[in-house]
Amino acid sequence: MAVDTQNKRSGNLKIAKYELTFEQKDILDKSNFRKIIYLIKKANEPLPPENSATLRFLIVIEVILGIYACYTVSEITLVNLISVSAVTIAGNIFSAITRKKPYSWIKIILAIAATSIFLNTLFSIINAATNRNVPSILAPLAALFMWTIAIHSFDVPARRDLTFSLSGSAGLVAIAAAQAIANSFSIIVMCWLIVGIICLNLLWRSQTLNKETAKHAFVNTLSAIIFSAMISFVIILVLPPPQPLKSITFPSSIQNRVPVSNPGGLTQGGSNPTAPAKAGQPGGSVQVGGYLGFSGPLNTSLRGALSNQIVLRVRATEPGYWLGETFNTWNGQSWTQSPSIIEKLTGTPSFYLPFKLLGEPPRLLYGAQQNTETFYVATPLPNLLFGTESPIEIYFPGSHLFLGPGRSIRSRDAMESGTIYTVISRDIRLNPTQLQNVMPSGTSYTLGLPNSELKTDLQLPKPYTRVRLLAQKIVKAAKAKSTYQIVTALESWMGSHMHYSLNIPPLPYHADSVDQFLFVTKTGFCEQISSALVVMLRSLKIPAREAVGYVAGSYDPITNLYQVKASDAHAWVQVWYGPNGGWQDTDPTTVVPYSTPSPGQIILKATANFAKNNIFVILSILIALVLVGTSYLFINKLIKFRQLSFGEKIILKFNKVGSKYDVIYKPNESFLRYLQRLKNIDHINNDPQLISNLDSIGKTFDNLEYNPSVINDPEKSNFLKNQVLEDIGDWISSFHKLKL
Amino acid sequence: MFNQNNQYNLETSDFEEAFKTANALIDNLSTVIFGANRAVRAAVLACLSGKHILLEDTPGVGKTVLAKTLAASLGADVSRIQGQPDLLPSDITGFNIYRQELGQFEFKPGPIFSQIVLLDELNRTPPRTQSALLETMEEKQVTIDGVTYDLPDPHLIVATQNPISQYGTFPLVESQVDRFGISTSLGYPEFEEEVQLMTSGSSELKANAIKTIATVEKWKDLRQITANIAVSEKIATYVVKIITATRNFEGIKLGASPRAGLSLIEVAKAEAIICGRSFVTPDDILNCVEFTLGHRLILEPGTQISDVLKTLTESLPVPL
Repeated sequence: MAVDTQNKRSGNLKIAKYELTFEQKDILDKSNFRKIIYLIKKANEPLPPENSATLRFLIVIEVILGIYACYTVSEITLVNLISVSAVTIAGNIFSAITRKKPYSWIKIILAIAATSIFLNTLFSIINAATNRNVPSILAPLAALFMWTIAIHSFDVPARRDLTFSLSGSAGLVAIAAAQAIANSFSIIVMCWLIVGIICLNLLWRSQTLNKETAKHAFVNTLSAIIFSAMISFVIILVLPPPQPLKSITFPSSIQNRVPVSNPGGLTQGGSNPTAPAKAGQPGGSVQVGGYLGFSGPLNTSLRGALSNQIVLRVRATEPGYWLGETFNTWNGQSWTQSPSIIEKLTGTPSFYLPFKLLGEPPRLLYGAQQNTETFYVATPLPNLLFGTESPIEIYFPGSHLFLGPGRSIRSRDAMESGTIYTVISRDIRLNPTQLQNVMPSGTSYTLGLPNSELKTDLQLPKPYTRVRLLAQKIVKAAKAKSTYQIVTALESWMGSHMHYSLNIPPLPYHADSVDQFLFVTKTGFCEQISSALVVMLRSLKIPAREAVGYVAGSYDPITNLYQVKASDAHAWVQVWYGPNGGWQDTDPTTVVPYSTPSPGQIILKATANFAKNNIFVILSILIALVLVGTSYLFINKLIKFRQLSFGEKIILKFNKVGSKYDVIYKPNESFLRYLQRLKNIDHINNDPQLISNLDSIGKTFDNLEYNPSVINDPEKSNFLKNQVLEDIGDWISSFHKLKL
Repeated sequence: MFNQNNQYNLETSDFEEAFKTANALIDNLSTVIFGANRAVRAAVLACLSGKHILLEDTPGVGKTVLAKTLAASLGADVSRIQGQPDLLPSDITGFNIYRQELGQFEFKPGPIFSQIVLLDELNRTPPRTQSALLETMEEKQVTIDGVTYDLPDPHLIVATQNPISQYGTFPLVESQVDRFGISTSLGYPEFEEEVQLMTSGSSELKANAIKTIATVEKWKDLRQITANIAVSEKIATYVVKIITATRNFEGIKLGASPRAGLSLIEVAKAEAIICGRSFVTPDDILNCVEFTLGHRLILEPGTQISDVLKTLTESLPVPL
């Protein structure tokens, strides 16, 4: 009897309104059409307002983190960052204030604003497309998304609306992450994830409000995180190596356009380098990026200590040596270039490099491989463009480039950090058999070499008799005939008789660097070793030249970028392999890696290495975790930590008010009796409205806590919970007003 | 004390009706009995929950008037049994009498067959008679010469007993005490109330003149509605906590039985009706603890039941 008639009457107007939906549910069973109408109505019905200020605040943080993430990858300008953030904050404050009674006209204004922003985006895209400026299509899209979220924040009264904002922030972070190149971006992602998890937890907790499930909220969230982390780790492990870029356009951008003072010339990167060590003067250092070989003659008597700072990040089809320029003229101490002709290249955004300037391409006997490399400049560098051996096309922002001697491609503007350029190369990389085949023994070493280069690529400042005799001796001992055999013989001889060291005694004044290295110190680094190889090859009439640039750098599996440090600057040798081979790199110092690694394997290897090297650290962390875990469980058992129930939270709210008047809640009294005591407080006992509101709060509380028909109906109890929270908020605020 | 007259949101007209009747009953009794609000409340709780009530008091404080007024208010018939050492069980239950003109035995029902029975000075009746009451109280029936007679449906025993220390009494059997759902004492009225009592005229007359506010049928309905009051798991747990606490508590020699717990919940349901609620709250339980447990617990010498129960309930947190 009691149960059947329970829903009919209600002492509370709000409950009566709520009960109506039960009748509507009855209608639902009857007709499909009405069902659809009802569902549409229900979807547009205003949802109960979200009262949690914490949740709202955290979601604003999330959105701003997303916007900031876009800013860090230069998707938007600083002005946009500040204005969008300000609008978002203002919008959310507006929504929080009007959450109980949202203005209906706001939707119209927002719709107009959203439409105008969309049209604005559309026009800027059309503009960019007509100007053939394809890369700049992406930026307005990100801005459109951002502004939509900012505008939407004016109409987020309910929890469901807030979840839209939260997912919007996820979209922003994803847009930014797709373009992020530095690992420091992961800090933003971490912050976003942590706040996001708290948000989801809050959303979930207030949605269920069930004491039993809320108890497991933390454990559930934690296991969900661990589970998804494991899944993503497995996905990374099975991920194939990154594929070559397939795009109609390539990234290129420049932050601050600062033209270099000597157009076509080379500059020192960044600030003035400190004086390098000179002959007879040990010590000295060179600033980041200021490898001497990139901005002038390569003087082997000078050297500086290069730091480990990242100078370049490279996204590449394949790793390789990032060649800066080559030198062909040796004077015993320094390498220089001749003839020093500077050609001006025009075209934007892509520059095609004419063959006649770079030299004849080798005949495609073994096929060339097209490599695409995008360089992200991290610190100020000399205005030299890097790339693998044979660039054919360069994407660089600007109207022209300069092509200097020794394949040095120079930009018109200073290479500041943030500059991005892409180089497409057609490289011929031959394996030992192929190298042997393109220049078989017996053929002339200079076969196919242009006449203009015959002089320069075999140039020696003096006879180098001692060196030639040594080279001949080595070649004879190795029975080497072909170019490849000779090169390998000389390299292996140096490998077994010379020592590698960055710390060599200073070169005596007027001494010959190669002679000193081969016969006196027998110790040197890449410059000495490669110069010695070039001189030895030239003394045997094999065309060779000095190349400087960077080694591939360390591969970062997370960003899929090669990180090139200042200390990765390197010098190696290019040897002429005839018309079919062209100029081929050979490095007497290190072995060239020529394969794209798989990110998963690298992570596994790194993890295994880390574990091997830090086994004791890992073991002690594990032991500490087990200890902490068991002691936590033990303490948990001793002191029963538990979540506050809904009722306890409400009591705490009143206790906060009451404790100022020494009316403190005692656990052995019922909430109603506590409210009775509260009523005796001076400010309250004079106000009949406050007293009657307290009574109604007490009634709702009793219903929520002890009425089985409410407890067992989650829909009803959630409704009442929201209502009582709202009532309490009103009551406390009107109490404080009264006090004033 | 906490304002009991708060009207809670009632969910059915039945509850509203029951709430009004119960409170009208309290008002009615209060016009006759001065200064004994607890006893009045206990009597109404007994009516609603169908539990028998035991009044422990010295003579002359108005026990009889209470029972009579209750009967008059409910339109029920009332009978009175005066406890005395030579009272026989048949004096209460009735007996078979040989009717010569019919040539057969005829059952002559005793005073127990009234809807409201006032058992005055119960502890002056000998144990044999007391135990005869056992069956009638629990089973609501009487068996005489192998024939079972049902007692009238709303059936309420209002028993009174003198404090045990008085001369010429037989202590009540524990099992019988357990069968009383509610116990209380009227106590002496306040000075002003006693003056009012003196000037207001004969209470017997007033009791006779009391207006009837419900019928026996309505009383039955009231009991049905009371039984339907909802009890949540929290409240049940709370009651069990209280009951188990009495079994191992300083100052209590014998704790409460599970029947005491059931009885506490039933009486608390009646309390919920009086407060106009369709479910039981911890306040209902706390208000009824002394009514239902007061007479059931056997205390260590030198302890007061109200003090012991107060410390006991205060040691337990209210469920949330």
